[in-house]
Amino acid sequence: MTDPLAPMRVKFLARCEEDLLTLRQSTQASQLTAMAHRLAGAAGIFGYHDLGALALRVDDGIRATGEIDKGELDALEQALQALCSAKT
Amino acid sequence: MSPLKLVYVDDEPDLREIASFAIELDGEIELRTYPSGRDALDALDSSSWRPDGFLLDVMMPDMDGPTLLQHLRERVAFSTTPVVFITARAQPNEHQAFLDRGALGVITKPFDPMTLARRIRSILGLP
Repeated sequence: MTDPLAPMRVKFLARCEEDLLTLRQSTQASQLTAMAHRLAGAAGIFGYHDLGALALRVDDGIRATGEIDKGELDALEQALQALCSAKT
Repeated sequence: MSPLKLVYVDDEPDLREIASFAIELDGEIELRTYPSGRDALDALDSSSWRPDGFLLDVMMPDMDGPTLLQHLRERVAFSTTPVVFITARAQPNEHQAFLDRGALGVITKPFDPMTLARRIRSILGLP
């Protein structure tokens, strides 16, 4: 069965690679929350609901406290890494 | 029958692309998308094209969705045009707040591309 979202899925997965780099290199809450917010809105469209939920927790956490929760960030990083590894 | 005319404003290009694909599945919707509230307002102010409804992302830099709704309401042409927010903010109290600010409905991200058009029609009270 063909995936009607296939071209967009490819773009989304390519962007996940960039997001992983951002996660690993950025310490700016604003940059991380922007990335997490975008992931929270898009991941579930392609069926990656757990990833979206983790991203939403990071986004919500930073917006609520202004600070980055390392545990939540690590969980998001692991999920992104798993997705990026699976597609290769 | 003339197509339903919609405007979708979202700062995320990937979401605009997905929503365009999803809404075009309907076959009877004319969609225009803009990356920001300012771009949308500038385009609408300089055109006689009048949408039947607005789909607005909530969290956007520079001008968020609720602020854009306010600006639309200040324009006679759009003072009563239905507005639907599309947002990753999923808490019920947040949705109610959007309705209290004048939105007709709220669609949560991530949305299902295969049913997005039908959901929009339902919120707008259209077949």
